Amino acid sequence: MESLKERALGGGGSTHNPVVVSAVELKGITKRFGAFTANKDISLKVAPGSLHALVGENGAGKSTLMNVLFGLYEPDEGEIFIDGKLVQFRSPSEAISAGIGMVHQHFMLAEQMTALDNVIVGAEPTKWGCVVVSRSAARTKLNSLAEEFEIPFQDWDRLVCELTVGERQRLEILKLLFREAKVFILDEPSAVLTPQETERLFVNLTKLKERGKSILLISHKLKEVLEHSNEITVIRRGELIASVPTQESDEEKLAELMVGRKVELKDLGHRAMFANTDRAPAIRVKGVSGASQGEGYQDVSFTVMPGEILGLAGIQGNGTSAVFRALASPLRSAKTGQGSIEMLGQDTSRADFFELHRIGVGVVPEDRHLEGLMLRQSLVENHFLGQQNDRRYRSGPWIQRFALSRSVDKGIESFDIRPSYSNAVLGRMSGGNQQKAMLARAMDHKPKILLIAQPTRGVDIGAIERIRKAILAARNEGSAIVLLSTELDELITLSDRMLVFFRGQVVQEFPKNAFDEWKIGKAMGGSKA
Amino acid sequence: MIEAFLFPVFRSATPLMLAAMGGLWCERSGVTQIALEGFMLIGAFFGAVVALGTGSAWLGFAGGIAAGMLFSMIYGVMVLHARANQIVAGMAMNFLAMGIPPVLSAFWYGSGGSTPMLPESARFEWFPIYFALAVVVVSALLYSKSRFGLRMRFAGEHPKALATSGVSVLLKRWQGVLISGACAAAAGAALSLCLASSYSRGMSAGRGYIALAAVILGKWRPVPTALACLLFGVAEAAQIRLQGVILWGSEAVPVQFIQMLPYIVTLVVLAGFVGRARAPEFLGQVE
Repeated sequence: MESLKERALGGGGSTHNPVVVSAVELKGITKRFGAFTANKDISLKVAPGSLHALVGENGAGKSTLMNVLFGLYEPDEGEIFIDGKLVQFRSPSEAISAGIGMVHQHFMLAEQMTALDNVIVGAEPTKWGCVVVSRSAARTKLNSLAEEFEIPFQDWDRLVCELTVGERQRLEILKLLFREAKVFILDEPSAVLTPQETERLFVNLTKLKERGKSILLISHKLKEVLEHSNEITVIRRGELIASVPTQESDEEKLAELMVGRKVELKDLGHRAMFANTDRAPAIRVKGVSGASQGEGYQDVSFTVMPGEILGLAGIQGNGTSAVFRALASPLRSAKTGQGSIEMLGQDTSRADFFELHRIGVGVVPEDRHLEGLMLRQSLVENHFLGQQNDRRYRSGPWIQRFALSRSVDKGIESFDIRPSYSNAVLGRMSGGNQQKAMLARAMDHKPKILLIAQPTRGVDIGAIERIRKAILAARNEGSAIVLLSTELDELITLSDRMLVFFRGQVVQEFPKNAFDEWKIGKAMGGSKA
Repeated sequence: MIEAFLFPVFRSATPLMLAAMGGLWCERSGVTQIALEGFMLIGAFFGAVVALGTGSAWLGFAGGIAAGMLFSMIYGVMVLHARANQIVAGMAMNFLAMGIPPVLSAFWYGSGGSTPMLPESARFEWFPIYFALAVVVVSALLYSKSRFGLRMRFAGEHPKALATSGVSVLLKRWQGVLISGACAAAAGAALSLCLASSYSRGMSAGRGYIALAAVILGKWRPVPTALACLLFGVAEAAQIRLQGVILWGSEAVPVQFIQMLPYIVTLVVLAGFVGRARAPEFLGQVE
């Protein structure tokens, strides 16, 4: 029976290496959405027991390709082979039963359910004829899997909302092992992790490899890809640009392949901060405590000088976002106690947004969809948002459309926003262009203080470069900048000084010359370096 | 004492418990359910109609449930396939349910929205009460022990996680809607076949909403929800008991004020406790 099948496939699979059958082979995959081609004739092979990295800019089609492999999309053309056998997936459940598992960027875990229930749902071991879930059998199986693959996990009865991001990710991997996956697809797994957790993730992935599992890793962090993968495939605009063995590649080459031109991400013409201690600080925060959106902070004090970028580092939930909101939208974040916040010599602890705008503060909020932009409106309307009281754009009850659209055009030009016309609707733009639009707005009134959160979240490499350069240019012109980012890399590249938060407190301050990814990561995890 | 007090409490709590279990499963699966009131009316009316026609309370009860499930299918199609707003669609179902009995009773009985009195043989004395308790026990077991319960909860807490595990979220939500139709209709049939002796216009009298309040108060868990229903049952039993009783002075409190009691309890309890309740994460969201 088995041999018959293989013989039948032998003709079609003649291109296979007869010795090593690929764990996964994609052949000529094309996927279209209407007129848009997301994947165009992509072929790649993943050797068993290897880590194959898939890199490319946002919107390049990596996720589409992985969703095709995971059965979420059906390809328009092309074939998928698992262990040399032709397969066709109409749904994720078919992909799962063929041994394919995916760890999504946004974890597929219900926060209010226990770790155990999250792992077993959809594949529950049962007794009494499929009616009753046998949680004890599941626990036994999971404990032995955790031991075999050296992914320690005990808190099966805890709710997922009590687990750290790293623990959740390990839970997702155990979930796939529980389903007996042979091929692991991981979508940007390190995006939310500290360096230590990332290190640990790759230790786990190496263990998976050693035991014969194959891994497909989507990432835009070239450094980790180069360090841990066996082969790298670059995708640009839906097309496969190159598949290269990792040893034969380096960061510069990969970035160039991804973007299609030379890019500078690190050396952005940084100049050393001149010591302007004789000038008054632009931002002075003294002993502030409070909380917002369930995230607390205690007794936080710092100052920011003009011409300085202060980075706020911390794992999500440790207070950085709440402190940022205390600065950027004081009215919407509850403060307690005696502390004070001063910007440019004025007390802003109760200022509203217009007040901040008036004294010269520009804000790029953390969540551009929730707090920053009206996605159904055009660039012009979005540019006006928050500047309603600006004299340039308003006289009496009337909007000065002409002045407004002229300033939008200026923003389009200096930030290279695409599509490049002022009536373009924000919702149809890529994340990078939306982000540029927000930055253009925040910088429109030449602010002396810029409060910037997550400037490059979900933004592709080309746009990252431009956004980072704009931030540095504002700094060089003398703006005091507070930068909040979950990308440690970005904080290290841009900041002149960094505050590390843990459980709502500043645990350590790093001057520029003491930036060290490992030490900062340790402080973020709560242990002093 | 026990008989004089416990029996009326369980009697009053029976329709609440049944409707609340229906609402619980529906909301657990991620579908907002404010149409319990309407489903109850349908169950009460058709329960009485079938019992009258066949002379059997059992067939009446079953007929009411069947009618409720059919009726809930309209809601299912509206919210799960046409993706109507669940609050608006739920209200529409309630209005529709209010309109159906008067029309049909005018045709069948020549009356303005009620059925004739049911004969003793076509009524229940005890059965719906036991049935309600059984539904609570089965719900509690399914909720914590069964595969069905686990998957229903995931449909409301994280439908994508369920879908990527290869389980159909749509199927789970249809099950939730149908269970709510069946249970709420059973609650209605309990009203017309057991608590009263015929269908009368608007006889659910807001019990569907009180049942929903019990679900929220019970934090979408079967046993606490059933206990909340008993609390409302106490209020209702007390209300019936206190009508016309002279509490102080020489005159009885006007009956209208006494009748407010269950609703006031609902308001007070919800205002006092609802802040701490947490609904299923994806309740009311159809992607």
